[in-house]
Amino acid sequence: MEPTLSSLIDAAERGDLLAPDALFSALYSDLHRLAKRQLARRGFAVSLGATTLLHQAYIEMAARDGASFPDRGRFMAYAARVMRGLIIDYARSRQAQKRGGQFEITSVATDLENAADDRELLRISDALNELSKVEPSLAEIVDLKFFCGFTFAEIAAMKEISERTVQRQWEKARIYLHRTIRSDLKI
Amino acid sequence: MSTLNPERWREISPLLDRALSLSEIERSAWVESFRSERPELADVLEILLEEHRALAEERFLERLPAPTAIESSQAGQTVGAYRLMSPIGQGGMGSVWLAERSDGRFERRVAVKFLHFTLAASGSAERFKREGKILGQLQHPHIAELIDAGVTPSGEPYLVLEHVDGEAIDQYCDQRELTVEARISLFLDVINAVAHAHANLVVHRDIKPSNLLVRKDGQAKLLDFGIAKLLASDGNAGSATLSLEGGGALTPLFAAPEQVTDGGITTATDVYALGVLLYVLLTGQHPAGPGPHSPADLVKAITETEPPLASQAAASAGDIASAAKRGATPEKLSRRLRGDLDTIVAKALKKKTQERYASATAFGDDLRRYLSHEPIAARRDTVAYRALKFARRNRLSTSATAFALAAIFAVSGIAIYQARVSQRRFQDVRKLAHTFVFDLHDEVAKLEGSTKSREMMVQTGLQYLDDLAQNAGSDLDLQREIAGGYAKIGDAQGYPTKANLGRIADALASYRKADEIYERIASRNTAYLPDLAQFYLNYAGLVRFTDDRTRARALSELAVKTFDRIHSQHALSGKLEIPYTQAWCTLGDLDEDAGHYTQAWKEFSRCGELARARLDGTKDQETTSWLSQADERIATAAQELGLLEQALRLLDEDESLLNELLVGEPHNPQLHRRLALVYDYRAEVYYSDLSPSLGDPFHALKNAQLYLQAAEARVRNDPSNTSAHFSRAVATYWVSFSLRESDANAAIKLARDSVRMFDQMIAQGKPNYLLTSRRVRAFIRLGEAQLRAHRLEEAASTAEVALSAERPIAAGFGAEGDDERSELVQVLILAGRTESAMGRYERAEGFLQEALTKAKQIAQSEELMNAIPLANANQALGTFYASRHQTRQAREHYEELSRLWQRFPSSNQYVKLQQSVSEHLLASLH
Repeated sequence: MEPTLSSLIDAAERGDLLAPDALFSALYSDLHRLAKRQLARRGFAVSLGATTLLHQAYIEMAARDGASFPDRGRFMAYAARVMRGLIIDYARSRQAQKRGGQFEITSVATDLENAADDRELLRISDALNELSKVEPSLAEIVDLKFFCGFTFAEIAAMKEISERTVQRQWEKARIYLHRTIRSDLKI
Repeated sequence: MSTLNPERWREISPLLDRALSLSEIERSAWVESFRSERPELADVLEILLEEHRALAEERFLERLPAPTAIESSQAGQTVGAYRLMSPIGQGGMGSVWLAERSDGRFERRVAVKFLHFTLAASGSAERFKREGKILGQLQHPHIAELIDAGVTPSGEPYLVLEHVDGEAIDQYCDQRELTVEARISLFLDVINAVAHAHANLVVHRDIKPSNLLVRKDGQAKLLDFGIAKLLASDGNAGSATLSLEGGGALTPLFAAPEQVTDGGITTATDVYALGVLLYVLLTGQHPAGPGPHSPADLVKAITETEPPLASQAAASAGDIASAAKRGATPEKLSRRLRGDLDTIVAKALKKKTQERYASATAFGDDLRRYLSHEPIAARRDTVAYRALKFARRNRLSTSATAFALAAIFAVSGIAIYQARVSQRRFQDVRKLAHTFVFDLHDEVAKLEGSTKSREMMVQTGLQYLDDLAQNAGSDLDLQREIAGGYAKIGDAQGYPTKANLGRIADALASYRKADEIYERIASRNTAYLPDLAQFYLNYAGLVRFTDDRTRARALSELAVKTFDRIHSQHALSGKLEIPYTQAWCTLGDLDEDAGHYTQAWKEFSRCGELARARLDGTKDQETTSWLSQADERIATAAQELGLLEQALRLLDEDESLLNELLVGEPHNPQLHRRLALVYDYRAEVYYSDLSPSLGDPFHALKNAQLYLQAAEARVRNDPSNTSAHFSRAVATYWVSFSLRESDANAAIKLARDSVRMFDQMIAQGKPNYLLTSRRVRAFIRLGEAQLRAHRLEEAASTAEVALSAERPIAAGFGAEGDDERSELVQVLILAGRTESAMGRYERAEGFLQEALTKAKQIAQSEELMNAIPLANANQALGTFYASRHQTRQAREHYEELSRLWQRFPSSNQYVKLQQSVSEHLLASLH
């Protein structure tokens, strides 16, 4: 029997070494499937917000797994990492297409002036991987905030810490990320 | 130095935590204190914190990454009746598409906003649509219309909005370098929009420049009205609205304190955001100061820190570019904002909602007032402030007055009316101003219905004077002329005893201008001292009407001292003798008002001496009149001091002086009034309750009747004369008072008449202190008479009415109201005696004891007048206890009474009388 998300989360939290990877790929495929289905159901594609997707995913998965499903906060902590993976993979593929020179720029992202540059995105993700080794809680905040678009207030509610703490951690993480990306900066 | 390796990070991370939790100021202090322990770490910390500031400024990572579109977008899809054309925006809350109607019925372009949340609960979609419809009814030229609200088949809600092609209001203003006035005008459109929404019970909650677009044609449009609420109502936390636009403001730059602290969100929340917006538009800065702001700092700033005044922000920034965008230098901009705009913006930004403008409309009204130079409501209503506004307004309305003046110009042959004075035309304008201010006004004032033209004359005159004053340079004579002009204008504006427009505040402002100039020129050249002295005297007279007795006294003292100074240098010219005399009398009036009777008596006496000395040399009407006025005043003061014989002698002299004057001017109403007052004062000297008297009701009655006859004659001659009506009512109660011993029933009838007269006057005009206070005296007379006639029930109800009328009067005067307190004592004694006569001893004792308490609160100076209420209270209490056979208590009060009078010299006739009365009372107890 395929393990449920709840049991994978439980295993990961118990310290099962294999569980995190299994959880990641399970969530990844779920989110990916969900996104594709959304687009198909809608019949057209507008940009699909990460937050929307995650909320949708939570509602569906919780309904599927029943009462044992972890609370929203715990779920989001895992899902945010996965969402980053999803976004980064998408950015990578765009990069690859651009490099291949066969891609016509039609995506929403490139039409918007405010969108972060794909290459920058990849560097941020790498730096985040570093950060998650040193201070994983900070990395989680960045996933939730930057990649998934949750507000400080929402994150504070999920993690059951104060909004100011979220802000402080976010600011700290930002310093770390910037330092790591700009490795030419010495201290 | 090394890179930021994991070990180093672990060391520094908790330090960063600490530092980031502090405010900017605390932070640097903390780093400094830390430096002594770990200098090397402090350096690192400092570098990282500096980097933090830079990152906050460049908003690093504050924009969401590329939208997570898994597939590329497909323009041309439809949602509802709209075909999507191209994406025009993206935020954490949703993405926005430009769209057009797919059915081709209208060629209208719209914006479709997809909201990135899913309506989870069943029925939410319906509610979303329903609320969307309500918001759709919000129609206003400056609100972007909400055309439709719907939910896609997948459950994603969307809004169809009027598409506004414009730029954010702050950018719009800066790019076009709009002036402060133009910015306010534009902002007023926004205020109107918000006020309209508020009237429809919709709060915006998220007003900020990115929601406020201005089209190329200059039309401002407010976007997203009520949408924050729409989102919050679906169970998303209200505070989340702070940063819903994740792609834009992640920090609550425009949030009100109550939004940050989860207080109730009301229309006041929008007023605050509007205040922040106006602050930004006017100064180019955020109220929390120059950025970047960490969210923590910002929350602290919003909830705790008072923002600097807009003018200070503009000045302290010293930002030339920012000021240039407002068509000014930083100094000019700061000056422009100082005053009203500072006040208006500060009121909108109050931390407490109840201290803010009560509505967007009120906020807008004040800005409109500012633009038209009218006094704003947020401002404390000071005289100087209003006068300033008055003057400014007039400068703008020159064209209106110009027409009315054309005739005058034609006559005087002066062809200019430009307010700005070129050197060449200077003398012309000077002549015009002089003619205008000094000659024309009084002539016009004699005409009936001339108020409007006088208004214009005053306005124009003031304007000329302001311009002359600016150009007067060092010409002292011209300055004197200008000062005289201001005083004259002040008279016309509101000097109560002259033909005036009833605007005493404006009058005071003009007088202040005159004061400044007179003092300046007199300090340069003593030849101007007489002008200054006379001016002080007039000024004191004006200020006295504003009830600022202290200031009035100071001014009349200045007048006396200035005259003395002139006198010490050389003899006063004949012309100055009268005003010098007058100055002493005015000073005495003010001291008498303040209850300094001895002082007043001395000053009046000095006034009398000066008048008499002058009369010995030149026997003219004016001097005679002044001597008469001095006599009248000395007489009243003498009575107050118990110098009753002197009072009577002076009143006799006054009477003959007035009769002399009446030979020359038999129909002068003022002389008749003053003659009537002589009877009044004489009646009081003979028989009175609140002041020393001879206790002779028979002679009092004769004079009171003369007083009443004179007052009745005045009422007959001029039925509209309120002062005549007042005199008649007062005269009536005096007659009643002197009759109470001999004919109590007649006294009751007269006192009732008097009360009725007061009631009529109060009903006809505005009730004023004098009317209500004298009406109480009429009640006291009525009660006394009823008590004597043994009509106890009536007396009790009279006392009750009098008491309920007097209490608020006495309370209203606080510590200064000695006169009013003694009136209250008298009422309480009346009540106590009545209750006692009715056998209700407990109530009686209560009233009498209260009378004693109140009497003790009256300043116990060496003034005889102040001792009377205390004496009356003690006497009443003593008599009460004596009648109850409580001899010990009775004796206490009689002894107190006796001690009280022993304090005063028995050479004083009145004192001697009182001393013997108290001895007699004490003896009666044996």
